[in-house]
Amino acid sequence: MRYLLRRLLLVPVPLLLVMGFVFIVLRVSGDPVAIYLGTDATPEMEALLRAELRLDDPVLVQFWHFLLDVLQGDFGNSLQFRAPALEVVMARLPGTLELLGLGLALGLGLGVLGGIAAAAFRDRLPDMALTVISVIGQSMPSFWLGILLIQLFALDLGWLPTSGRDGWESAVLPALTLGAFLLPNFLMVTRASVLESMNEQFVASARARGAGTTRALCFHAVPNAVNPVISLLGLQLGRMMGGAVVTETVFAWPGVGRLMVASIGQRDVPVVIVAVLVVAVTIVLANLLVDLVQAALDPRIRAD
Amino acid sequence: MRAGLRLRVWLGALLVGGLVLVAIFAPLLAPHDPYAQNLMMRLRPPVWADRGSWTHILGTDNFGRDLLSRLIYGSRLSITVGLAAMVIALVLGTTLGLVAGYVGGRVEHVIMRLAEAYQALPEILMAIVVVAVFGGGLTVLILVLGLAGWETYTRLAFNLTRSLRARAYVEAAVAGGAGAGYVMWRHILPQMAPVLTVVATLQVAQIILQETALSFLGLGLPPPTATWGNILAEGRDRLLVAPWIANLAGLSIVLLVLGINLLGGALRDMLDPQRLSRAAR
Amino acid sequence: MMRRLLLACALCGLAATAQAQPRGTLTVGAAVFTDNISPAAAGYNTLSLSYQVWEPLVARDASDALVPALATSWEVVSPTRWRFRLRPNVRWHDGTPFTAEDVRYTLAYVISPQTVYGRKTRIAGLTAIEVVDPLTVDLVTEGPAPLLARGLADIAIEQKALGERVGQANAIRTPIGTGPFRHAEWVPASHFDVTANSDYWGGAPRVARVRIRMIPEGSTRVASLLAGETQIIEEVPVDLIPSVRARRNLAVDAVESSVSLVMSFDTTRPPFNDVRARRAVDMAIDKPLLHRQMLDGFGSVLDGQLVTRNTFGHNPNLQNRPFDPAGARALLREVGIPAGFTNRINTLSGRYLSDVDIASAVAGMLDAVGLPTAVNVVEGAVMNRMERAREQGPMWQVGWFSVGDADFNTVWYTEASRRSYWVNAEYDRLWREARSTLDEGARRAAYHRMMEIMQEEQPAIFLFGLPRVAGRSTRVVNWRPAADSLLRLNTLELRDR
Repeated sequence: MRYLLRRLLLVPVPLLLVMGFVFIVLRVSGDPVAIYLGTDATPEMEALLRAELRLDDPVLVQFWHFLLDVLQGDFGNSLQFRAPALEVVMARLPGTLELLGLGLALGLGLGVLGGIAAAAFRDRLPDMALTVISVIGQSMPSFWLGILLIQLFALDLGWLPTSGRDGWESAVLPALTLGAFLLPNFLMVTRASVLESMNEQFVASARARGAGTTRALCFHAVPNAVNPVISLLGLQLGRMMGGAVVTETVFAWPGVGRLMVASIGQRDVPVVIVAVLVVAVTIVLANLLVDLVQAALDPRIRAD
Repeated sequence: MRAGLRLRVWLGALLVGGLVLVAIFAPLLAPHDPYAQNLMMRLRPPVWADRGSWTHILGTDNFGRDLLSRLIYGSRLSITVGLAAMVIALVLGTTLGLVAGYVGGRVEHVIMRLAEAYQALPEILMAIVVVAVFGGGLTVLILVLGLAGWETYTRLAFNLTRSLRARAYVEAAVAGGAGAGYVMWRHILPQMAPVLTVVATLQVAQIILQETALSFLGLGLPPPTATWGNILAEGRDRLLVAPWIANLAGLSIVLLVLGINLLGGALRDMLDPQRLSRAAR
Repeated sequence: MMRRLLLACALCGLAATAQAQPRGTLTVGAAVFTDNISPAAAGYNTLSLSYQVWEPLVARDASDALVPALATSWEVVSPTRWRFRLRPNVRWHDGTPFTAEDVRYTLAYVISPQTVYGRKTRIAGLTAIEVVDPLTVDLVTEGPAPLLARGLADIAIEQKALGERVGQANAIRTPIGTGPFRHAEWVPASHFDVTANSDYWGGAPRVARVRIRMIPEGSTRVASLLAGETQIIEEVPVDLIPSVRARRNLAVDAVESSVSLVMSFDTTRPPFNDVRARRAVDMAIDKPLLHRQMLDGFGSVLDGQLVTRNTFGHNPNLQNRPFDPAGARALLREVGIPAGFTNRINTLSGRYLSDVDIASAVAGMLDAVGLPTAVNVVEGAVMNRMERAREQGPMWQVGWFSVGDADFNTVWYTEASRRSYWVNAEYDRLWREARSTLDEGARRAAYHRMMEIMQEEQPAIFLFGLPRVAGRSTRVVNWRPAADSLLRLNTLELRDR
């Protein structure tokens, strides 16, 4: 319980750092006024907007006011969309969650299955084939893969749409692209930990008692792989988000990643901050969950 | 050593070594100036295609520049960026982890909480923000990619240091009056070097891929710089009419990253796998 | 079945065309990442979306000529008073009639100092809106305003009742306009759906539904057209044109826009404070070659002046300075490039057709005459900051819209714009005169002289009148890309095959 409490108390620290970093960097580096008002703005319009955004205050003062607003649940209005930034980001969140969910399901599911298969057939053809595929997959720039998939399945074969988010067909290629980005790591970690535990004492003794390889695999080795796979999952979340940005761009998929990249270009500070926060909160909470699951599985951490 | 492992080491070493040699001797190997434009010779296909010629073995790009020469010079930047960024992450991360693990107490608390906080930052997103804002110069790019990965080493070095500190020979050295810096440098660091090497090798591959992702988003090194990421990103816009540009650049990236991954993976398997997986947790 | 129906319709002849029901769904792949459908939004490209639902008083057609829209005619009553007669029997999408009150409401809020409105300066000088009767409005200006009608083409008329009921800011959430299409759904960054307004005063659109999809990546956009997911795409990347042309059921359409792509100089710092250095750069660039290779011959090489041939104020006596690398080299030697000077071209990426490609090729040509030049790709916000800090130099690439009248892009080289590095008193005076007289001849003469001054002084390199290159399925008939890039879809027809 104390462990949980301590972890929870630490949650705001990274979030605060993220907000401060993004806010200051974006404010210092670009001027939102010209973008918002267009090239032929009148001086009065500029003055109005500058006052509204407190652009003439020192940047730390601006940040302080921003934080006060955030504490009241107000992240400010998006400059480009003229709507509350929170609303703008939340409208895109389902797209990104769908992409991440499907990609993760594919990458994790196939990765773990492939890893078990590779371990079961250690040093034989399936193992080598899977290892080769995953090393190559790990080495491939994911946007190149996405483009090749579009070329093959959408243009040459005409089976799936090229881009957009409209029905399940349009989700297949983006999910594959993101899944392929995640799969190799899960495959390798699963394979390694299954192999490791196959060598361990209790599995060996189970086998000595006459349990078949399959049995040993299913009841002893695979459960042992759960822990490393979960901790990898925690580590991969940040990377996954990067993959999502690229995938969303290749497939013109309306999601938070693409919104964020575009908003950085527009210096739409509220949107960028909310988007980064949503991502960071997801990662922090997911890591918390991972820690808790691991603590539940491994009493040593709790005592620590 | 198992046959598979030996094969991986050889293949990895061959690929990485070969490409490093190409990078070093780029000026001797490249048949043309990688930046010389010839607008009349745009988008010529490679020699094996219909309209190809031996003048431009791998064809030309959008500005009539020789693709082979650009790929050869591109290897320099990709390798430089990958290595330099890795070194930054390695040195910074290891030092912090080492100090945190050795000194403990409040120092440990601050460093490790910072690392945890940093882990919550979506790395590539931070890189996007920084590069978008400060422009994609070589220094900025290396710093950004380097700073994105330090906390992996911190956690690794921290865990290793804590377990190594308890070892008898380290305790003996401390008892014998050796200074903290000396113990860390002479007794602890050498012990964890193999593990760090493996992680660092694999990270170089990650960094090279991240550089291509930034190039794809238009945030890589500015044109006309020949990096593989840039060539791939430029080629992507012409994939339907000049597929060889993107595909050859993609292939180059895959070969280098594949080589590094093979090498790193083989190194990992040669080390005691239990120590590694425990430290990585 | 469908074919028989078509045949039957054809037999019915004229009567059938008049009654033809809107049918089919058209999907358009739009190039620009539009943030907003509000008429007040700053981005000019937003108009492409807003004008499906809303309309201006006076509209531009696809070639930038002014045509009646919500106003049927307009006349100058006195030098500072314009009278607009409004179209009778126009109804808002909610069925209520459109009247002069709506015009007054919209324009009054646009010009109010408290309002942030994107294209406000288009109607700068408008001081009062007077309703004469429900179908007549007088617009009163500070001085003679020759550009008022053209400026009004960028202002959408909004409904007074809605704006007053829910507030200006909220009105865009439930858009009600008078345009050819009704708002159906707006999903930012994804698509904008509209349905045909069968009561449209200009005749019901021929397609029942339009979806405008945002596909900012050029190659993804082309792929969507090749795969048949879109029937029209904006802005086909030049190098992908052959892949569209190669398909029998696809076509490429191009028109010349009124966007002039230029490279401006920081004329306050060496070496470009010397007109000879600027001229040398002009001579070093082989524009016809770039035009052929980087724009596939679409659009045109500018005639040694800022405005395109189809813009009011174009000077027919001026010509592009010929390519002369030897001359450029000699001039540069004469000027002497300061030690340690590296030339740089700042450019945006993807904002104009082939922008980075053109900048890179130009840099290569400058390298070739002994002026080493780098290309610096920056994003919009950074460019704006450089603009404010007056650090855009030594050279930067930009495309200036004229939407048909030289006033709109000559302004950027006046002191009044607060953006120009180059200042010329005669040029500024002519510009002010031209925008405050209703005498067309005098205006034309002023612009002709301004173009001469600019060619003489070379504050910028005048590159190309950019084309608009669109890809289209041959099922789409009765449509072409517009010079001002706006989508005009109400007369377009979607054939079955």
